[in-house]
Amino acid sequence: MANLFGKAANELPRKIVVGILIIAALTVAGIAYYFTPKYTRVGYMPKQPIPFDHSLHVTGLGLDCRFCHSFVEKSGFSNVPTTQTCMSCHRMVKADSPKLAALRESWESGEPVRWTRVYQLPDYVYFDHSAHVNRGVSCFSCHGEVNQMKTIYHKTPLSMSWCLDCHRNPEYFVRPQEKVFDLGWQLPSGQSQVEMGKHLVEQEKIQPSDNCSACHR
Amino acid sequence: MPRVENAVDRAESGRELLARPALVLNEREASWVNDAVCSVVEKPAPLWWWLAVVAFGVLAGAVPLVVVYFISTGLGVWGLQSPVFWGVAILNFVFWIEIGHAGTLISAILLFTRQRWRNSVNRAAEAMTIFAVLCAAVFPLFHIGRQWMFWYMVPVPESYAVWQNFRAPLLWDEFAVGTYFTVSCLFWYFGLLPDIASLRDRATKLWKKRLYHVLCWGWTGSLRAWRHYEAGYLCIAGVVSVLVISVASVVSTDFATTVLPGWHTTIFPPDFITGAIFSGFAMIVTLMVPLRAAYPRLKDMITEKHLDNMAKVLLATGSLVGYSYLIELFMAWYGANPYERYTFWNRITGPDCATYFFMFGFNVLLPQIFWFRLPRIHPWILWTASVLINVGMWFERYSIIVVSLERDFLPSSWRHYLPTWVDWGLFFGSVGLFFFLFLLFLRVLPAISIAEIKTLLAKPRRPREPEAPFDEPEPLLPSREIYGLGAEFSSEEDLRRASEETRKKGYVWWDAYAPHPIHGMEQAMRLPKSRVSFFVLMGGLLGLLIGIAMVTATSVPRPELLRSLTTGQLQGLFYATVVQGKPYFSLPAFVPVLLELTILFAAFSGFLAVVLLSRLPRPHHPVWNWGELSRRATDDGFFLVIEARDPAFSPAESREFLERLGGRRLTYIPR
Repeated sequence: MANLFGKAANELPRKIVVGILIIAALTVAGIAYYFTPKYTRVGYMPKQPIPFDHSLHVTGLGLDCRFCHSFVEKSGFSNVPTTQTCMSCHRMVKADSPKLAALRESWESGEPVRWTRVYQLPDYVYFDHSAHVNRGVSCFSCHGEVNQMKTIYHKTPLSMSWCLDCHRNPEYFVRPQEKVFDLGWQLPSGQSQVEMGKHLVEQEKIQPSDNCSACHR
Repeated sequence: MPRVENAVDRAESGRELLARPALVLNEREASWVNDAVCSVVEKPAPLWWWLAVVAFGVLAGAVPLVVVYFISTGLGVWGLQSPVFWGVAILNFVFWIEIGHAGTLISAILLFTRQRWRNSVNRAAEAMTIFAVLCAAVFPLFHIGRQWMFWYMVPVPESYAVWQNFRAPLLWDEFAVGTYFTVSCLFWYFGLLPDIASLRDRATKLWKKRLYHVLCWGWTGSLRAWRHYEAGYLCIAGVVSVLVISVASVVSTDFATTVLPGWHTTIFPPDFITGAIFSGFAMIVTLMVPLRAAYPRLKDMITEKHLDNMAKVLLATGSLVGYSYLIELFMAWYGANPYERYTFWNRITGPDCATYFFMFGFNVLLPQIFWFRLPRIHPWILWTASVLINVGMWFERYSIIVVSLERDFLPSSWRHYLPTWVDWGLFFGSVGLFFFLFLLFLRVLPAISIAEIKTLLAKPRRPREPEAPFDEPEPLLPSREIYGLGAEFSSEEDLRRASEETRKKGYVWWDAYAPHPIHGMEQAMRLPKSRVSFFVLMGGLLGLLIGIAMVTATSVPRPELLRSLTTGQLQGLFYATVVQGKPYFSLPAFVPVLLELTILFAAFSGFLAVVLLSRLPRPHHPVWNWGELSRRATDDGFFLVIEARDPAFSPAESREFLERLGGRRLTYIPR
């Protein structure tokens, strides 16, 4: 039969092994990067029907989060403001702005503005806003520096391990209750977050559950 | 020396008197074995094969149809109703996985116990294992409902930060069956390497030759490779033997760890193991008897002796199974638990009592006919009995799983279970799939292990004379461009003696090539003991360590050392959950996973060690430039090649040396 492959073929197996290793490493790295919520959710910035600017309203005008998201302290669900809430100012301020055409239309027809939802947890996850903001978890911890966002976008992964990071180590994240809605708040220099956090956890009796049934009811 | 010859004659005659029945009949020769086995693959398929493959292919087509139907509709189309949540699907899973076990048992445990009759049935049995496990895998895979979430069962770091519960029998099952399937495939493929080389050397089309060449990793038949190969085969057989016992036990713990009456018994693991051997042997007989009938030449290799032995195994395991049926009844009575007693009373007198009597009749009473010789060696009586035994084993699973579930503790929840056409479609589809795959296997790969059969051939009385020396071409004049000098020897004994002389003469760079391993060759070539077993041990230990690290890190609380890291940074490791009140590290519950990982790593490192220590894969080797060797080294040729780079090599002297040893067809092999 003579030889089926030339002499050079003896180098092939080694090259194939190296090639497979490289492809396998790239696949693993690719899945680890692209298939996790860190990639699939973070940075999601849908186009809204009205180009609402959080930085203008919060930093510029000094509105509190609760001015619009009014039930966040009392309810599990943090509401999106109604057209009426917007119009309480915008009947006078910028009443003719072309950017607010959709708002005025909603005001006249009675149909709500169809905002695109940015943060959405799966149906099998139970989450209560009031339980968090009343225990020293700032809006900032989950939604990021909304006070500086011109357009709202998804800031954090909301993956289960991300939730557990705080549930298992609350002292790294909690802040004084009166600073929860102060998005620009900085830790006073000379203080350590962990020390302060430990103190707060003890004082406020914060006991985050890490039972499955806490979130998957 | 007449006296010596007489003594030899007498010894020979005595040996004949005491000899066991030959395992290969009619004094066949090596090349006949090659022809007989490879012609099944090489000749055009006969008509019966086409008819059978179409029939079973159509039946197998039910599997994808039914699967698409119930995935798109939902599992409600299965007959499952409270309280019977494990119906025909789990039943079929257990049925098939247990059939698979006998394949491994024949090839591994019988190899381990040096039962040489395994050599002609092990290849088909291993293939049967793989196809049966494939059929079994259909059921749990689709039983989970959301098939695309299957990867939740795979221990990989992900953003949920929760790892699998390694203390759960269903996860043991996944590890056991997964390991079993991969290691069975590996063991089967490993045994196939020299036989694929045989196919390669017989093939006529270049693309086929190349394909087989790649598939057999460039097998040469070098005795140095055979040494590692034999050691590796034995090592992998050793770990596979443990594996097959563990898988049957783990499958039984799916049931035995629950509290359901009729399931919650310690006899389940040994009961399932004997049941597995029993049903698997029955399935091998079901396959081998028609195979023999279809290819009469194979009757010389799968003899009455083989049928007889398999029937005896059926008798022994059938009686063992009967013993455990009786012990179950006894324990139910003696245990004085009313629920347990009722379960067995219900099996015998309840609405499904027919299943119990089918089971007892086919599994215990029917095999008793094998006390007599005629049913043992009459192929078709044996075949009918083996088919009925498989039916009986299916009913045994029905009786254990469905009948126990139908009537549990609460009479108000009792309900009669009826499988729907979807359940039946899946089951009969899997039967079709099994035979369909087996028929394809027959036409693609050698169904009998060629190399191993050759070690069973009767040794010829006189060394076979190579073909007439006069048509031997004069060897080419040696030039600088030669790789070495090759010679053929007429028998394995001649090759062994020649190798010994070559070594004594002081040659270093030389090798011998044979179609099967030759005993005594290690001493003749003075090769050190193969190091394969060391790598198998190291691989096994590595698997064990990885397993311990995995189950520990996923089960115990976060150590103080890592206190500052968050769950996400640790990939969800050290996330301790209490399961079933067991301690965080509960060794008994971790044993199945640790064992399976040990075996998985040991088997794969054994395979890699054999391949790499034999310097494979090697697509190009100069010895193949000698046409005679490349044609017959995997058939019936025994060759010795001295390389030109050997310091003691000199074209003329070496040639004279090999001729003196009895070498024929001396050839200078071009580089």
